[in-house]
Amino acid sequence: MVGADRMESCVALTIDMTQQEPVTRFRLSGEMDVATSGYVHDAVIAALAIDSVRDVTLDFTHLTLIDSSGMGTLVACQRAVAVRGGTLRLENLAHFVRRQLFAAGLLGLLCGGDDGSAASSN
Amino acid sequence: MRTNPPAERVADRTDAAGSPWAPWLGLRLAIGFIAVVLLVDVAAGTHAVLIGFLALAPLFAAAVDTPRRTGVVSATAITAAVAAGLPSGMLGSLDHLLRVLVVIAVSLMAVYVARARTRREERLRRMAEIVRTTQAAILREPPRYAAGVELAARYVSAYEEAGVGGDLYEVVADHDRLRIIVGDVCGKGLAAVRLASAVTGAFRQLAIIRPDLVQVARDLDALVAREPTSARGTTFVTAVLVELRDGEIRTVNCGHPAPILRRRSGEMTECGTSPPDRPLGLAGPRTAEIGRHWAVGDRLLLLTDGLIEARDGERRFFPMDALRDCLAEPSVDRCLDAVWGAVHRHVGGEPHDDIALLLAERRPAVG
Repeated sequence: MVGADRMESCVALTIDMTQQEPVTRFRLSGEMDVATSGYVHDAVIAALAIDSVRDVTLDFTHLTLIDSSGMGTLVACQRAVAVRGGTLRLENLAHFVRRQLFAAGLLGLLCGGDDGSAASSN
Repeated sequence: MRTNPPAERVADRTDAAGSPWAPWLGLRLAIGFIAVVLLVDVAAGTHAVLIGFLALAPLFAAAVDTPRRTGVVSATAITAAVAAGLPSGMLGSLDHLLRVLVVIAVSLMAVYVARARTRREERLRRMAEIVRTTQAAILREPPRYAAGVELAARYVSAYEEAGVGGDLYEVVADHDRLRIIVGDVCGKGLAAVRLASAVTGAFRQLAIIRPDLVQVARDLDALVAREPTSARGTTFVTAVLVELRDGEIRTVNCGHPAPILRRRSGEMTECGTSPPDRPLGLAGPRTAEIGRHWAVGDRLLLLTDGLIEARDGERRFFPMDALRDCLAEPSVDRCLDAVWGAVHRHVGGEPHDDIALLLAERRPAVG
């Protein structure tokens, strides 16, 4: 099944969803901060409620900023996906977002590997 | 610890608003709009057809101004609506009466909306103040001088309620050793302040009883991991732990902005392991940076991400190069005043996130 959906969570973040079983893909555009990251969490949890969905990919091509709340949300999403036996994958991290995750010591945890080299980037 | 005083806060907001009469702008614009509608109505000879537009003025005032000023605008709009019937001779006609009634109904609704809006804003302000006060209460003023180090700290709380809470610091002196933690709880509000209080309390104890700084980090890691997780996120604390002893700096960085070492010569470097360890609460290895020497007169600035992520009107981040001049001031207190001044100028008012700053300077040994 292939599907597409768009959630205008607020002006600062747009979430586009495409579904290609068993992977659900979210393309995030804007900033993931205390005001917007809850929408990402809700979207991922809602996707996991679909029986066929196991793996989730977050495409960060157009994500320009992530703060500590956003990082907390990513860790929570990763745990929720892991409970379903799936994998959360981050793709196309912009340089600035990659640096923020690195500085927070979370690049290895969220992207695999100690230095996050497993994550694909621009 | 010093926080920015309320008087300074009010002055800041006035500056940020741009001019002293800015609070009256909504009233002036609304009255001006009423005058324009009346003039157009008379000049175009539309026979009071346009007076329905007068209802927009109270609605605009309700969105930006106080209930009292909204009431003034409403009364003006109603008076103008009635007077608009005079030049055309429509005063008292059913048509005119119905249009005036619409203006009256919308005006009354506007006053109600203004009251509801200001009450809600007041509730939010009060809540933010409670969080701010609690936050200030858990952050104790560090000693001015301990173990051969002069210290100063600042905590600048966010102006917006959504940004308040979670930054922490604590200094523990034990004979010739000084241990410091500066951290930031992921999350905001009272829950974040509660966790910040638990972390500083535990650090006070652990900093004395644990001989190894890495073990202090591990214990704090376990403490935060035991905290319940929030509904839409994870509980963790980014923190940097610093040990100052015999002219040596050791750090354990748990996903926190690295401390900045400013040599007496003016050279600036970041202290910390690369890559940093995960934040406290997410387990993983804890590693200490190999001790680096700091000489008398060198300064060490510990900060939270509120400083790095402070943005101006064009959403540009605070330029960290600006710290070079700030840290060259003659005393640690003046250095931090200069940093706060630079942030304030950059943001153009109050910051959107909390900022905690702690500055240490190595002083000559006494005796």
